[in-house]
Amino acid sequence: MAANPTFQTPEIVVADEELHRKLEHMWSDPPGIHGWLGTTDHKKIGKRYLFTAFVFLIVGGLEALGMRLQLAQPNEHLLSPGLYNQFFSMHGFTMIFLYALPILSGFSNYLWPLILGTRDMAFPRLNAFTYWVFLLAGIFLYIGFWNGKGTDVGWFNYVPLAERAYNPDWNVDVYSLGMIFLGISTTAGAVNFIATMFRTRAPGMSISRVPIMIWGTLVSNIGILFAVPAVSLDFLMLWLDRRFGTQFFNPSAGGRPLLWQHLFWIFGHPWVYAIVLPAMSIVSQGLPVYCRRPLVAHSAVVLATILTMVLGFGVWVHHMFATGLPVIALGFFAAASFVIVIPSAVSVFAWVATIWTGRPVFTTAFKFFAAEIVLFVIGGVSGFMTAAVPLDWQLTDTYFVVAHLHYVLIGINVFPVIGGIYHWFPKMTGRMMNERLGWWNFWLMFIGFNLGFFPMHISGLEGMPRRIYTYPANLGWGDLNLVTTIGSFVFALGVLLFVINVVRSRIKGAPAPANPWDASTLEWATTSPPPSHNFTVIPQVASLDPLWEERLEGSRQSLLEEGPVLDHEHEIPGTTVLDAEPDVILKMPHATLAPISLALLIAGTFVGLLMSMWWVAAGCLLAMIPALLWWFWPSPELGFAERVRP
Amino acid sequence: MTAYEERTLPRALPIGPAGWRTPGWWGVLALIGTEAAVFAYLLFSYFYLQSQTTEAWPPSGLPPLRWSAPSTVAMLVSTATVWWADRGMRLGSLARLHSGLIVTVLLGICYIILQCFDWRGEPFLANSGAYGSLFYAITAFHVLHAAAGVLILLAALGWSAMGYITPRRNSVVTVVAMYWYFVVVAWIAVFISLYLLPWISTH
Amino acid sequence: MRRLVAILVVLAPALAHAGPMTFMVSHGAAANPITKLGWGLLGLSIFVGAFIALAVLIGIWWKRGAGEYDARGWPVLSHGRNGLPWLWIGVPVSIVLLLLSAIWTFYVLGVATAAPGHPKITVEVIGHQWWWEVRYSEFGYPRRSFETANEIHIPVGVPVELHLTSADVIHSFWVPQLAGKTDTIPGQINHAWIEADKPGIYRGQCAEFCGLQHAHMALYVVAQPVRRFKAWWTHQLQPAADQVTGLAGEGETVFRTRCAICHTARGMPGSQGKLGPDLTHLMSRRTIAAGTLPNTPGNLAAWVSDAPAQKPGVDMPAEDLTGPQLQALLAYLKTLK
Repeated sequence: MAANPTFQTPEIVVADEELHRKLEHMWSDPPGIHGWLGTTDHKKIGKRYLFTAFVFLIVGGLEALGMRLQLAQPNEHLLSPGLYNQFFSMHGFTMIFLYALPILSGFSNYLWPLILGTRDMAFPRLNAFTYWVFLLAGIFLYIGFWNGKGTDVGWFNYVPLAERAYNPDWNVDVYSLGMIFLGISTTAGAVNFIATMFRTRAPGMSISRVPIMIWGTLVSNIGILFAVPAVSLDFLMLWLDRRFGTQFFNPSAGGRPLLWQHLFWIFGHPWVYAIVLPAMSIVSQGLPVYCRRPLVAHSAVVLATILTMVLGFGVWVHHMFATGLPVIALGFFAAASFVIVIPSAVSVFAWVATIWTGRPVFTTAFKFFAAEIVLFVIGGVSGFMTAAVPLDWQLTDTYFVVAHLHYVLIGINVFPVIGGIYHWFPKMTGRMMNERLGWWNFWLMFIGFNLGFFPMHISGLEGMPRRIYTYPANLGWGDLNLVTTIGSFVFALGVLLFVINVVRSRIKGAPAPANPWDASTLEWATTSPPPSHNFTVIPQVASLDPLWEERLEGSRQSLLEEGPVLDHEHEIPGTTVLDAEPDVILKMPHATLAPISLALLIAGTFVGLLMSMWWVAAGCLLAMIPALLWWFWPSPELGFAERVRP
Repeated sequence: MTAYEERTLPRALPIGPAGWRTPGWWGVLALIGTEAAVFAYLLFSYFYLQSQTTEAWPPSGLPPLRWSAPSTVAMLVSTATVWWADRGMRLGSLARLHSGLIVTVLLGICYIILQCFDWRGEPFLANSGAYGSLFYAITAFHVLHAAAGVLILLAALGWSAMGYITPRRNSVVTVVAMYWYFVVVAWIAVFISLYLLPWISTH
Repeated sequence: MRRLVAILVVLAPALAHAGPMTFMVSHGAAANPITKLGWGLLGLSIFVGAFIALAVLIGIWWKRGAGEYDARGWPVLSHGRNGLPWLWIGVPVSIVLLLLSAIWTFYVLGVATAAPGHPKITVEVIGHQWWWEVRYSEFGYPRRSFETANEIHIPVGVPVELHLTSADVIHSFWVPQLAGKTDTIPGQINHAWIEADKPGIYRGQCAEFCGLQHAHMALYVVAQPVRRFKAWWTHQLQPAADQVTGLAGEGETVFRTRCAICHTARGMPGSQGKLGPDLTHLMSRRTIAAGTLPNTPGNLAAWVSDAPAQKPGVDMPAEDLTGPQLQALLAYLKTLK
């Protein structure tokens, strides 16, 4: 038994092949099923997130195509009203909860430690746990659908329609419990990102040198931390109402239907920013690379990102303008909603200025990022129109809002995401994506999207309400809907081309160099794909754009080849919050089955609750205690215990 | 001297679970943030329904202070004992750590038992009206947090008895103590909202 | 540019033919200021969208080919020119436009929420899955109250106050050319008002998702000159004809045994049903089943014999009426003028 040291002075070395091999071996997962299920490698987890979220995007997209066929002409009978209502409800929550955030978590999981110049997230096991919970919650949310009883009261799930009296089937129970279940993953992920940002940046990456991509995700996750509890609580109260007869929302027993809406939108509006701010930061990170200059007004864009989220918590009532609230409240929330335009304007003008003062390179990724600016503005101004209370009384719950939210969610989430894949695919796989297919991919998606969704603005102004499964012929909505349906299929074709390009490039794309786009941040300083330990020596960062220093500043101040070696087990430096001075050496865990075990026990609990098998639920809940003890056991490898085996 | 050393002289750094330096401290802080938000939304719901009601609030008279007042005292005392334990360990006294943790656990259990008596004495059920639903939801949610707090206090106690926690490897106790402070603060918010405010407004 | 052309090409003809549900055209004091605001903000939005789209396009295409290139043919990295003027000019201009829009918005908010004068007529509208119950009452005249469904008559040029609530789930009352939406929420009464400045039939539809047949929950507001409106009111106050004979008389018996448990035909003993629409003056309405079908004898027969086939999920069951029973019932319904 050797003493387990409590202090260590890291040796400064120049990275060499021998050290690289040692670390690669040390950080690789064990072979076989244990390594596969137990991995805590953020790169593998990130890719799993991306893949799973994309599968949900395709499922949600197929549901949308079904709806579009039903609505292509008046009085169609392709889908029964019941099935249509399931389709739009499942489409909504699939895209919003199972695609939009998880896909961004995928990027962040994969990229954060690389951009921050470290070797893993702050909590690698929690990272694995969030993925498994996300996967299991996604499957859980779909079990009703496969039994023909998917939730059918919309993703917003208003009471009393969602109460037992109007919805006696188990569909809403699945949705309620599933949302609480999924909330665990989202919250745990947020905790992880926050700790990672504040404690594990590379030495020298002071707060002013943190790349914009990190800011977007950080702000999003701080928002999630305070927003998700509202919706989890809301769904818990609804489930208790349905299952145990509590009276939270029942007006005849002192409850209020509007309580549901308040809590739902206190969550819902920050959530919108949670799923667009990281995507906007992908644009802010990627666009300058192809404009061959740093982002204009980096600090202003960071502040705008923070301001947007702060304001986002004060505007929830603008989803409730028609519910009969006092005029004074309407005025306040309208004003707050207007103010959000200002930080958005900062971002837009910063992007436009970056293009104007830069010299763009027309890669596929650039096209997606540039398109995002235009789509963002269209989605932004239509949102601005709905912030005007009296006008919103006309616009709300019409197709104008459907158009608005799709410009926001597809324009500001899907377009940057696809562009981001084109941008980082070489890093993730070591292969380049095909630019020629990319050209077709972009134009089909861009034209299809606008053809499909722009006419929805007009259907809305023509008075077509949302969430109707059919409409009569004499209201003038038929032609617009036909155009929309055609556009949606063109868009789907574009997405299909993207999938083909990914699969094809994965198999036989050209090999990618370490930094194919000549980008500036640390993820491009390591090989493509990165080794399992990311960086052989921990970099020392001296600017916002470490890889551009020689050319922009004359000499490179950041140190990338030489640094502290940290090679006793899994070690990373912990650094101070503002200045990123190293102040601790953190011991990171190895692959372990504890996270997936705990995730399965949570799934068991929720299945037990759903089926009213209380003993199953209680048994799984109790079994979590040993599982948690296993997880958090203070092992010598993590620095606990005075002595370790040599 | 290498380029690296010219800028940052390597110095001895603590390893692993060193107090608030670990990411765990930040993780639990974030967890506390999100849990505090749940309490905030529960109390928001409570005050919202109160603001919308046209009848008496609380509908079935004031919740009694008979059990809740002593349980509040137990909670307040427990902040002192857990602080005493945490501080003691940093000063190197495992005896102070152990005795402080044991007393805190006992006070936590005491609070939970008192709260059960309080529930037995309430004239309404969780399904007899929105007030009852929220009253039980809020108090039960807090009791669950206290129970979780007791369990992690016990885990910290066990690990320290097994020799895993020392003055240099103290992050577990730092973090557990922080969580327990949160449990107490949350209870004070609940106590003021559910018990004290209705009592003050009728006296 | 492409965006602007697309907007003009699609928007112009679409709005030119102005369907019955568009709110970019309106016909009442509660909706007109909102329509103006709508056009104004739409114009501003199109301008902003087009401006940024143009800025992006010009920024992309403008100085291609200027400057140095590196070995792979990409422009060399540089700090670029100063981009901050975009923010210094763009953000303040946005704020000014925003302030102007906000002032206009708050002005319209004030106008639209304040009903002019003291409304003489109050109409209570109660949302049901999936139809609208309508109760008329005149202040101070309790006997001049009556119920109808799915069709609201109002006098032209007179503001009518609406008290909106729901018997089951949340719906939203919306007649686009007369006023914006107001939700009907169980346990609370929301207030709104409408006024039509010219006679006509204005279509409305439930705008909050309310279950299976949310798509089939329309209503009509019939605006009439004051004199015709008063005549309509007087007629609606009449009970159903009580001396029906022959085939209609047989039909009355069928109605009493099969329909009256849910429906009311005022004046008929034992016909107090409240679950379905009041049918006292069924034949005076233009549609049946909340705008689902035009009120023709054929549709009525189809509806009465198998309502769920017409509107799946509806509470009204399929009635296994014999041919003669159906004929008799239809003959009776025809007397409910």
